[in-house]
Amino acid sequence: MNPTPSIHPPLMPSSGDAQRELEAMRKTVAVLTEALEQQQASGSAGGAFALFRQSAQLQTLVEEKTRALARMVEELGATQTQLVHAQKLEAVGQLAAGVAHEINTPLQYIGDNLQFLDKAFNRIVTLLDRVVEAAEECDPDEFAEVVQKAMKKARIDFVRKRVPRALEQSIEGVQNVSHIVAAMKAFSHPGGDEKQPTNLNRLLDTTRTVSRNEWKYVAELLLDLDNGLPPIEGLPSELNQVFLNLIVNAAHAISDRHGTSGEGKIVVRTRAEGDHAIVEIRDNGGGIPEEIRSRIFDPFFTTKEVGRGTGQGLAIARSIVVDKHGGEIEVDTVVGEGTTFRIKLPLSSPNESATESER
Amino acid sequence: MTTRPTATVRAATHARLPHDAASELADALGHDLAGALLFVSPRYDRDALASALAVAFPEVAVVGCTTSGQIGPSGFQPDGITAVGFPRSHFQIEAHAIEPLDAMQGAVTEVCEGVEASQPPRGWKTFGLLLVDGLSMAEERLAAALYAGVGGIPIVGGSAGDDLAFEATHVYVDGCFRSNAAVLLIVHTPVAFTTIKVMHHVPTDRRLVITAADPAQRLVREINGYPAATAYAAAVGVAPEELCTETFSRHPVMLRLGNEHYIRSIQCVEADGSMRFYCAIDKGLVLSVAKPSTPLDSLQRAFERAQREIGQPSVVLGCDCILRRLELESLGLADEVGRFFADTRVVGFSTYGEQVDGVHVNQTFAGIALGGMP
Repeated sequence: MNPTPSIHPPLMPSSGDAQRELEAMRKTVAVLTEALEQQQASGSAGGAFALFRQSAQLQTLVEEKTRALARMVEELGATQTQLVHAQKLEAVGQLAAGVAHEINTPLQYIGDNLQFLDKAFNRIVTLLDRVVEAAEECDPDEFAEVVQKAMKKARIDFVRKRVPRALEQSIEGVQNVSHIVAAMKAFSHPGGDEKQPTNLNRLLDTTRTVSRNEWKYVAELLLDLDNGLPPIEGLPSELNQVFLNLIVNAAHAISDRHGTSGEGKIVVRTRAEGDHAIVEIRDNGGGIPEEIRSRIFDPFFTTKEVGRGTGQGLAIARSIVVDKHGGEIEVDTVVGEGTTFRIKLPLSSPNESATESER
Repeated sequence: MTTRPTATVRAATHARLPHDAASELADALGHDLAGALLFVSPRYDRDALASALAVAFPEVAVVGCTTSGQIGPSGFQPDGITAVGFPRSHFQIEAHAIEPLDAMQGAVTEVCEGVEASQPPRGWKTFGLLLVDGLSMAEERLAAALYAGVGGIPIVGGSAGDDLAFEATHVYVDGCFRSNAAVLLIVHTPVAFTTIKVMHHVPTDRRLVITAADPAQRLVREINGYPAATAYAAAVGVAPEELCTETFSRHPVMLRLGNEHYIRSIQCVEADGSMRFYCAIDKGLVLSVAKPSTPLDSLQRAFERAQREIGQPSVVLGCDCILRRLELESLGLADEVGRFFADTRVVGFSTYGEQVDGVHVNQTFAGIALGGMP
């Protein structure tokens, strides 16, 4: 506010008429006194102006509350981001045991093979020593017989037959381990907030690898991938999370219905449809009962026992697909037959394709 | 790359004959409209125009009002009609007539019940656009009652004009032009929108105390104990006989409530030296004489803020005070601001007052900016 408000017009033309001016001042003071008194008495005199004042004050209040609400929404958004990260960490944590198991199996037979190779090497060395010795000590007639005997004792035929297989198996095992480690690394990479060209087929392959231990005892998992599928603009780390949540859910559904009978089947399918990429994850589990279908995407809704799920997987999957990628996620389920989750993602980001035109 | 049409359609006509104007607009706005909003020069034969519009827009909720100048695809447009069409694909429209304004309570209650009963598709949002007889002196009561009644829906509105003749202003709803009436257009849409409110005046240290007034007539009889015009003229530094709309546009008065300043604009000087306002006033109010700051800058800032919120607007429904345009004209800025309005897709009119939510204000640009296709 300005320091000294002036109420007396500086250019009053009637400055000569002091009496008139005094009268004017007197009236001004009287009216101000009356107004102050009224304000003191009630604050509300009725009429259009009072209404304006009330409305204006209400508007200021509404604006303040709106700003507060906007801050809350912003904070909620941050919480949502943290929730997505937390769920991912939880999923990675759950996967860790399975992945350890997946790595342990090849490591175990690589270890066995190395022990066998160690023995085989020792036998060959012993054999060689014996051959050299015989060459020095024996006459030529005896030599052939001694060598024959030594070779038999060293079971060299068996060594010759088994070593190449052991080597081959070990190399394969090492490759397996490094494949799993690379997939785990790709899967758990935090990723940024920036979208990047993303190969959905590769993501699905990675997710299949890291989640193998979750489904391999109850189902086979078939990939039916469209090799011509163009990349989408996406957040790979978060899409991995979506696919993992759906594959683990499929495995749980199958396990509930078939146990480990070997009848379980998960089919992951991709294809391009117009300007969208479609990812379908189909299982032949028990299906979703009708009474809970409308709630499956609600946060914290779960039918799983404690420790198997927190009810956030599908809520987060929807948030990632719909809110972050402008896509759609639908479920098609028949009780007793199975469930298909269908994800539709735009092939190019909406910002690029939205060009203005006017009729 | 797919090409997407914008959510709304803009149009304008300069045709003088009502029939030509109506059919030009219908052609330009296209089919499948849920509603259309028209800003109409008061120079038309209103009855003829009403009939022509009814024929040109069958089964479309068409509402509008008379103006003191239109805003459209070419900026400020002194004649003809400017219009916005709302395609059915992205809009559900309800037009509620409110009359008579001098006994509005029943009509307002009915409208509020109607708005409450409406059921837009899930995920759609709702705003209201209010057009009101600009000489009814009922805006404060109407805006406050509607805002309280419809609960939480943003409402932006403007008071109809008549090219500064101050004889009669009209709103168009349900097929005819009416005085002593208002129309509330309720718009449901999945398109993002936001409210824009722009003023560019700041208070000075010169104070005016209203010492005699007739609040029902928005008449200020005396200021600082002198006839209102005399005291106001002295405060802004001109001779009383030189007071004109240009003076009022450059120097409105402002009222402080809390930490906010509200502009109170002067309409005209009456023969007895009292001054008629565009808004509610009362005896005993302390007003500050205002001075203008930078009009274009403040507009640009407000539009940039809106764009950050909803992206590039496909249309801005704008209620822009006539005194703002007169001020721009006197400063030689009208063409530049007109181009700015054209570029930013403003469609609207020069008003006798603006409403933002429950409050009737003056010398303000009040608008609703609509984003592109969702």
